Amino acid sequence: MMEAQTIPKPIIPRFPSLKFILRAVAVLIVAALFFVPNYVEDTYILHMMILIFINVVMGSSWNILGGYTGQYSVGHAAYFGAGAYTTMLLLQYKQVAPWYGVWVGAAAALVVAVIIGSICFRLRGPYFVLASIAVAEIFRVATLNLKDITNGAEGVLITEIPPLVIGGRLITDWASKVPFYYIGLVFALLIIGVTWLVRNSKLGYYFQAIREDQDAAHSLGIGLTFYKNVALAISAIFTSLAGSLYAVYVGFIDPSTVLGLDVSVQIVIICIIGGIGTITGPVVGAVLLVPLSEALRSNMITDLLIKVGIVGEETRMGLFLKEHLSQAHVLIYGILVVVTILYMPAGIVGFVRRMTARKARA
Amino acid sequence: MQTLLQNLLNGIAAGSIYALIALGYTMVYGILKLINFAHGDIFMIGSFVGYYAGNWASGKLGTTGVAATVSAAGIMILSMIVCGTLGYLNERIAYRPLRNAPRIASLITAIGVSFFLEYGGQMVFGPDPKFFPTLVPKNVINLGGVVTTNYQLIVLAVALVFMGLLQYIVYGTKFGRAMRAVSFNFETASLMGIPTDRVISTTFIIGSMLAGVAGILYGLSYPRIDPLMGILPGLKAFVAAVLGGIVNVPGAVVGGLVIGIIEAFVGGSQYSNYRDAIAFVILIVILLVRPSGLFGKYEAEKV
Repeated sequence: MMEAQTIPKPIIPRFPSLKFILRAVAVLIVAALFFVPNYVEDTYILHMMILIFINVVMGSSWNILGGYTGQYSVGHAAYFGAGAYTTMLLLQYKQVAPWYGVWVGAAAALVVAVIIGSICFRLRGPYFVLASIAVAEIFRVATLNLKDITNGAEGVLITEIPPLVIGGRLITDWASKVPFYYIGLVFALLIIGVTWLVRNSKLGYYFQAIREDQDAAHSLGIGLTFYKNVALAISAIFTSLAGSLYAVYVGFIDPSTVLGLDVSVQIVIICIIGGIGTITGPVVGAVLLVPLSEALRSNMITDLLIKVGIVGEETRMGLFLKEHLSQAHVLIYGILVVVTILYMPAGIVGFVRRMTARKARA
Repeated sequence: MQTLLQNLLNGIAAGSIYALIALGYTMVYGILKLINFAHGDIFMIGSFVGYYAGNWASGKLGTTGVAATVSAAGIMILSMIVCGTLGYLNERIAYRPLRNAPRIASLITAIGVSFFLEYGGQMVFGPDPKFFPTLVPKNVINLGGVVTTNYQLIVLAVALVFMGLLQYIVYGTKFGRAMRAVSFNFETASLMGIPTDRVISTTFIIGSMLAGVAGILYGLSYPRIDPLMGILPGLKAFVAAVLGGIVNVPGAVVGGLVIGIIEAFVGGSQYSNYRDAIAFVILIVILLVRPSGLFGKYEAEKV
């Protein structure tokens, strides 16, 4: 795979202060994020933030496998669903609290990953992509049909989550969105930290060697299947955490919302638009795409266009947009992906890097 | 015995539709090593062209007699033209600029185009399922206990004609030779003076036309159509192409038939709910046991 070479590294030596400023800003933003619930009462904003965190976790964990190891899985819904279903079913039928269930879910995803990995990693390139889709689809159809365990197409609904009590002290009763916000934030920071660790470790170098040239890596004694499986395992565990958090937060799952092909594709799109193989890429992708799709879904953009006066409310255009734009978020994803690949093949982060590098050279 | 024959017949009818779609995948994959995810959606568009044109035509010309047969043929040609144009545009706009980019980039673009067509279709056609018009009167034919319809026979006949035509184009014409040369080695072919861009465009057009035919045949056989209908048949057809060894015409046809027949048997058994998963199980087994497919030559894939 060649794409990593198309991402020029930022010219750090010329701008030592720029790097410092960027880091400081990042730290400040993260610190500020911890205080957001203290000042923001609006549940809609919190809801959006939680969705962004979940998507950051999904994208970043895919990035470890797809971005750093170069294995483009389009079947990550299998791990998302494995986490979501394990946690939900344990909670619903065995009354296992979700903060234990999540780890069982992660273990389930790990098992699924090892099985899928040992099958699919014998394949390369487009065949691997296809096999990953196939496996996820098999999971979806099986979940749909194993009605005794999974409740089939009706899905699983939870009505209440047991309050979290530590040492006799009530931590939270999950009535508000705030606990979910913090869990999402911690998960997101965790996966970003793990990505950083992976990138700068020997393990990460193995991954990147596999991405750049499998055969060369193999000839240098890197066990391809083993290290691909390790990358997949890390990726799957965090994807399942995102899945569990999503499931418990929303309170309802069914095979099409957590195991469908569009979940897998959503994960990939976040990384592509943000920038594959960079730490910030999935974050940028999630921060852009989640509000965009929410704004389209809730007709916010149409209302804005009408308010600004670009489109009259009663004109044909206005009525058309009102009726259709709310369903258009996937359509716009499609256009965005094509445009991104055509004009910013390394995603937004790669594009910005190239721009800054070009400036530095000039 | 009767159910066996019945399943076999249903399987062959469904399989020949898969085979027509699979041919489009095979040709594009052979030439560009690209899984054209949008192919299934072009098949969907073909079906919708048939839906609108069919409703219009049956209002004007009725649904019986010679007029209906002629209009059905006209609808099929119209669908081929629309799909062919779409396939050309798809290649020209979304894939050609990426010719020298890593292969995975065009794969992702293909997913983007596929989204665009699916959800664009939802906006234009509406998300609800539509009922495909009966283009010609439907007759049930009883062959000694095995029930078939003239539709199944039409599907078989039309599919056979187009497969034969394609076989002739690929192996019997100058264009076909150019196409095989490009798929064998892109750079060498262009050094030999083969206009590779034009060959690739034509390949997309031919493949998409076959998808248009498949869309009409599918609409006749399973009259419920909707904008997301292309996803599963598309994926299954690609499985069929892989099963047949990806870069040859007879292989894709046999692969399509095998998938169709196995699906029909699973659908007739107690595991009928797993019908949609069986193609993927076959895919994984075939990729592991014989990655070159039933009729392919083995080549180590270096990606």
